[in-house]
Formats: sequence, structure tokens, C-alpha cells
Amino acid sequence: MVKLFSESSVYESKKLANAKPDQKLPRFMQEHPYAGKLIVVEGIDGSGKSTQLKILYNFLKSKSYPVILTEWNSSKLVSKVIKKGKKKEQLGPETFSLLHATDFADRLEGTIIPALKAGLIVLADRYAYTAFARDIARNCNSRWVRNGYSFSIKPDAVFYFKVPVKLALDRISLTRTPKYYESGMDMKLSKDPLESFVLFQSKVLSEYEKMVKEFSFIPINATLPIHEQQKLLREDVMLILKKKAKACEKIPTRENLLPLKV
Amino acid sequence: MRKNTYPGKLIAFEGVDGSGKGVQINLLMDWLQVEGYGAVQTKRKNSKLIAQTIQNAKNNRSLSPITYSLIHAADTSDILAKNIIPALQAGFIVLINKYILTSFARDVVRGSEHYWVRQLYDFAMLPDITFYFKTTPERSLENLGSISNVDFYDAGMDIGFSPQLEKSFTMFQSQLTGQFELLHADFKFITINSFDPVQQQQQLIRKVVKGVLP
Repeated sequence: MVKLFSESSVYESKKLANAKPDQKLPRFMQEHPYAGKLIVVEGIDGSGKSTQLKILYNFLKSKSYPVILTEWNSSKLVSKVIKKGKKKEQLGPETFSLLHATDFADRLEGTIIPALKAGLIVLADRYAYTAFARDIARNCNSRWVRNGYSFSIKPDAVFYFKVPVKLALDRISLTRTPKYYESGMDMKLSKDPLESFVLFQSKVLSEYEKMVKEFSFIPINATLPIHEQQKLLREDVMLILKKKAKACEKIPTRENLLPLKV
Repeated sequence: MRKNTYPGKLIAFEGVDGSGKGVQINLLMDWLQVEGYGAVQTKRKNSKLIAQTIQNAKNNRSLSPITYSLIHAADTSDILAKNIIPALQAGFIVLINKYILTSFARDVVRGSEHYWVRQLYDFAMLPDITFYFKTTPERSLENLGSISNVDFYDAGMDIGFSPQLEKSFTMFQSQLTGQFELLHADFKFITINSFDPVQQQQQLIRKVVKGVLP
């Protein structure tokens, strides 16, 4: 996606950066002003959220909704560096957090907000909450992490895929071994990657639990069969889309939008 | 921000581009070594992991004020963890060219909220001494040689002061200088007048540094 530095983009960015964390993350607490809808899935690694989101994405596309999907750590700007740093196992907790914040900010300003302005449905696989859970589990100061992400906007819905750590590990182990940072090996909790995964992800899970109320997560029982979870997810999403349609009159369909390369 | 409790000392050199920091760092470095101290120098945008990405992003002009702040903070945190702290632990004198005050000044001129930027650098370590090099845009342009040596972001072109590189640079630098002056209230620094002869600047710096040497 091409980014131009028009004055308006700088202005937009200034407005975002001016969020004061002192005011309890103001943007997180009020509805965003854009025509589109922002739907987020959260949960620990192996909770099945990405699977669900991809099915939902295809479903919405098949119904001719204008929809895009954006994944954590996928910005053009820094995702390669993050991957390299992870591979070499040389990211400290603060660097890890700040690089992910950079990735997130780049996607928020360059992909998510422009799409929302154009009235698209944005499906986000992980959002700032992932950082709140993981970075705090990595012992970063919670106020510091939240300040770093205070430019974020509030999603229309956050689906939280709740799953026991052991089951998540079983799912991951079917196809691969857990990765270094996924297992929190940098925390030196245990020398055994599997044991470390359980210890670290349990910490992440408890951070998620703490946020359920604060950010009004919609919990989904991620131990259910895939199609049952999808049914629940679709029901809720369709309700949200209807609500949106009322608020901004109508959702533009693919036909009445020019081809958008996002 | 935490204070330095390691045996080494952290000395920061702040100021706009072309204020003569580099020359003074090199002179101080030589002197410290002659005096028998272990000294290392580093600079902003020096993280092995991230520096190249920042450079590419700057070349592509794909940084917004927010990503500009965040990626430089990531760079600082990487340098701190991998270069500065290990050197301080080993008792080295670490000289850094552009540190947190440069970030505070630049990010605020780019429109970020003071509080947000300062909180962002909460992980950093306060220097034992900070020198601030005071200059004028004309003088720093003289030092830099030509305006063509100044890149898009260092001239503040992304902020939109002026479409003309030199004019934008001048306006950006005056704004930065204003921010540095404001920072004096919260961060005690020693002001070096870059119009003084190089040797005179160096003498003052050495005098101050002597005061913290073990």
C-alpha cells in the first residue's frame, strides 16, 4: 500500500499520538467515528482464533461484504525485523514490545483506519490486547505497555477464544513444536520448551482473563468443534453488522466500491 | 527512568544535527583512553537489528510520527540492552551521540504528546551527564556542508513546514532548539556553546567529565 505524506495524514497521526494514557486510554473507551466495522479475535497461541477468523472472512466475502483481514506482525515496515529478531532469539522484552507497537501502529494508520473510513469490515487477528497480555506476562510494566498503545482505537467487537493451555499445546504439537518466544523461553522459566510453553501461556491466559471485563470481550468456548464455534461467531458478527448498517445507513457492498487494493 | 547504578558512566551528547557533537565525542574518547579509562561510543540508530530498517523506512518515507517515535524507541531499547548496559557493567565510560532528549524534542515537534513520549522511554537509563550543544540553524548548516546532506526526516520535511528543504530544515531546527530549552527544566544538562572554539568546548567537557570519573 502506498503511503503519501499529505498534511492530513500528519494531522491524523498527531491526533492519535495525543491520546493521554492518564485519561484511561480514551480511544479504547469510546466508539470510533468511522463507517466500517472493526472485529478482533484474541486468545493464546493454539486457541484456534486464526482458523475461525479465516472461515469468517471467506463467509463474509461469499456474501459480498467488503472485508479485509489483517494479521499481527504483518506490516511492511517492521515485520521482517521482528521475525529476524525472533529467529535469532535476541529481542529483549522492551524491544519486543516496542517493535510490535511499531508494527501495529503502521497497520493501524496504513491499513485499518483507511479501510474503516471507506466503510470496510476489518477483521483483525490479534490487536493491542495481545500486547497487553504478552508484554505484561514478560514482566513489562502494565502502565508502560498501555501507554505505548494509547493511539489505538476501540474495536466494535473483541471475540476472546478461551481454551485451556494444555489443549492449546496439544493443537500446536500436532504440526510443529512451539516457537522460542511463543513458549516464553526468553523468560527462562524452564529449559524444556513444552514446560515453558505451559508456564508462560498460563501467565498470558491470566492476563487475558483480567481484561475480559475491562474491555468487554465476548468469550467463545474454544474447546467446541470448529463448526459450532463458527456458528456462534457468525451469529454475533451478523448482529454487529446490522447494528452498524443502521448507524451509517448502509454498508457499502463490493459492487458500489471501486476496486480497493488494501 | 532508572538511574545508573553500574560501575561505568553514561554520558549523553544532545543537540541538533551539525552542532559539533561528533567532533567533541571523538576528542573526549581519545583523552579518556590516554588517561587510561575504558571508553566506548555509540549513537542513536545504531542497533544492529533495527538501524537498517529505520534507514530503509526513511528512504521510502514510510514513517508516520507515531511509527517514527516507536521504532526509534525500539532502537534505543535494543542498544541499551545489548551495548550500553553490558559496557556499564564492565566499568566502561559510554559516550552516546543523541539519546533520549533528542527523541523527546523530535517527537514533540512532530506533534506527539509530551507525556506519551516520556512514558515511552520509561525503560531507559538516565545519563550521568548530558551535554547539550547549542547552535543556530545557519551555523549547523555550515557544519553539515550542504543542505543536500540532510535527509527528508532530519529536515522535518514530513511535518510540512515548507516544501523547500532548506527552509524546512531551518524551521525544524528552531523548533527543536525551543524544545531542548524547555527540557532543561526537567533534565539538568550542561550547555555547550558551539560558537566557542573546539578546544575551549573540549576543556569544559573534560572538566565536567572528570567530576564523575572513578
